Amino acid sequence: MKEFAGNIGQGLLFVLAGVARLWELGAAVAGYTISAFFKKKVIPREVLFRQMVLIGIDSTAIVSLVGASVGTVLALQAAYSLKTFGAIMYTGSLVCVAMARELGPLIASIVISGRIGARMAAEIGTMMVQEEVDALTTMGINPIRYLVVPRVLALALMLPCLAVIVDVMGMIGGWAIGTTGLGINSSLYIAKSIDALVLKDIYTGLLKSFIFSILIALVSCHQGLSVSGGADAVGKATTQAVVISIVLIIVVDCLATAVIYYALPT
Amino acid sequence: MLDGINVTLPRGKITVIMGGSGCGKTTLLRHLIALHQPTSGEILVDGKNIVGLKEKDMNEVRRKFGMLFQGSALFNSMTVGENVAVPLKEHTDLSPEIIRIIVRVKLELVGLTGFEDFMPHQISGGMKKRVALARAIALDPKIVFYDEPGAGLDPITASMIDRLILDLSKKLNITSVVVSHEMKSAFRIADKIIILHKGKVLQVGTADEIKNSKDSYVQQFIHGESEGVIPFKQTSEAYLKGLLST
Amino acid sequence: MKIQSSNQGDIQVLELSGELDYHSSPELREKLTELTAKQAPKILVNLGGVDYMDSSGIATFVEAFQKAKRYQGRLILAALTSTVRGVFEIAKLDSIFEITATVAEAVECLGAKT
Repeated sequence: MKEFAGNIGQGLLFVLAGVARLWELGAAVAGYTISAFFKKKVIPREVLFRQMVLIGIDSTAIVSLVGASVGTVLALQAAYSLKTFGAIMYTGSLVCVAMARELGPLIASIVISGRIGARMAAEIGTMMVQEEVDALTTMGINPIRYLVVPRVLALALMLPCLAVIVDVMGMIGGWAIGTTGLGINSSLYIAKSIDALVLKDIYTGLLKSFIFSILIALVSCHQGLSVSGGADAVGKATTQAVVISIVLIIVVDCLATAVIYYALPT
Repeated sequence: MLDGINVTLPRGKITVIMGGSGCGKTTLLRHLIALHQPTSGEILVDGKNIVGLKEKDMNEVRRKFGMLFQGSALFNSMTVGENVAVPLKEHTDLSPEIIRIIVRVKLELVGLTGFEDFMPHQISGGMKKRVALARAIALDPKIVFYDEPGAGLDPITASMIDRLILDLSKKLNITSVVVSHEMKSAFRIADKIIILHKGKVLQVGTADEIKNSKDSYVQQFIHGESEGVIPFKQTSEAYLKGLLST
Repeated sequence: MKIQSSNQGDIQVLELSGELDYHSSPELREKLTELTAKQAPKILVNLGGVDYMDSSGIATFVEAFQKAKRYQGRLILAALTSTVRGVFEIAKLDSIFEITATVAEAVECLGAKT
């Protein structure tokens, strides 16, 4: 029993220490981002743009595909339940609202944490192993400013965009299956969708994706920076980055949705 | 790991820190450039203690430094030219045209003209090391640290790098600190040699003083003999005990 | 660093003193770009008062030299201190530039028309 309590305490301490380190990194990134408004050369532009291309443009195809598939599945599942009430024409409303409020940001974030988070952790981790981060430090260049800040900003700018792409693709996927497979009239489907969707659905979704982007980038960069040793440490950091990001995204999503539901009633 | 080290690195001269593997050479170097902080003691650069400096002040001091890492430590996502340009872009307000010329000059200095647009994975290990040297001297540092500059290079490239170290030091009055275990190169370039052994300073002197040293470890080390004060067939008690007690 | 510009016949003279490093070289670059932009045929840079020069100084001269060459102008560097000369030597550029030991020699070399 004592041992059990000890294990729990130790686990809790471990989690708290991790949160504290993340917070510290986040504070440093925020500090640099704010100082970028007053000083030149805080954010290395080339690194920022390279990351934005990598995250935004190169991920468009994959998030579109995933978005469309999720929209299709959602429409089919919704129709299955709605049919029993004879309310199959509401499929469109359900798909649109669910995509904009919830699934768009969530799916985009999960795909990106696998695609970009893993990459960030592996890249920075390898740079740690190959003394590249030390080289930056000896050149008098702060690695957080040079490596972490542009990655966090790039993801914070691009993930909301990707979330919108997922939203739209999901809606298109739902519409496609709704009008062809489920036999809903196209103009009725679109009209019902537009009726159901309000502005709040969209901006809360975007806000969520923004929060998730910060989480993914901070967790992944932090994992990368804590690598010491060799290839196995890089591998471990990469896995950890993805696992921690996804768990955090879902937990935070849960909290955020509850807050939005109760604090911002329509 | 290091204990009771008290050495001076003379300005404008080449100091070579030597010793066997694991004697603390690289650790000493990492302390000098403040990648590690000593638990006690002082490190004076131009008479100023750098131990415990704030990051901003430390970065001011680091601007005088150039460092050549053992594994080159080039940024793999950037071309050779971009690698050399990083410190220039970050620390100066020079225009891109001027930076491009400086990068060319530095690359010519290490014999790599025309390699600006190559990626680090497209060039050999020796070339990477030379690019890393070009990057280390991009900002015309006053002190350059070299961690095993000749390791893993063919003899011709290695002696070319030695020549470069000599040139930089003599013509530009750069202070050089070289960590190495290659005797030949050390005797060729050193104004002062420091021999470390098990985390302590064993001997300090000029190349000639080291060559004529009475210390038997030093003699064994410079002649590269396997038999000496540290016998090769050293059978440690722990080894025998470990084998026989099971 | 201080830059004084004057004319000696048809020669444009820049007299530098102090340290020519990456803080001060943009100022020199501005002056030299001004001269090369109006295609000054003869430019003389007196480096007698420069006791330290870094690579950005070299790069600035290289750029001006390239530009002057394009319109067949001449750029001469005069009265280099040994440190500054060392910088040119180590960059292997001492043979490309026209370098003279004294200002008088440079003026003679350029053949000033007074």
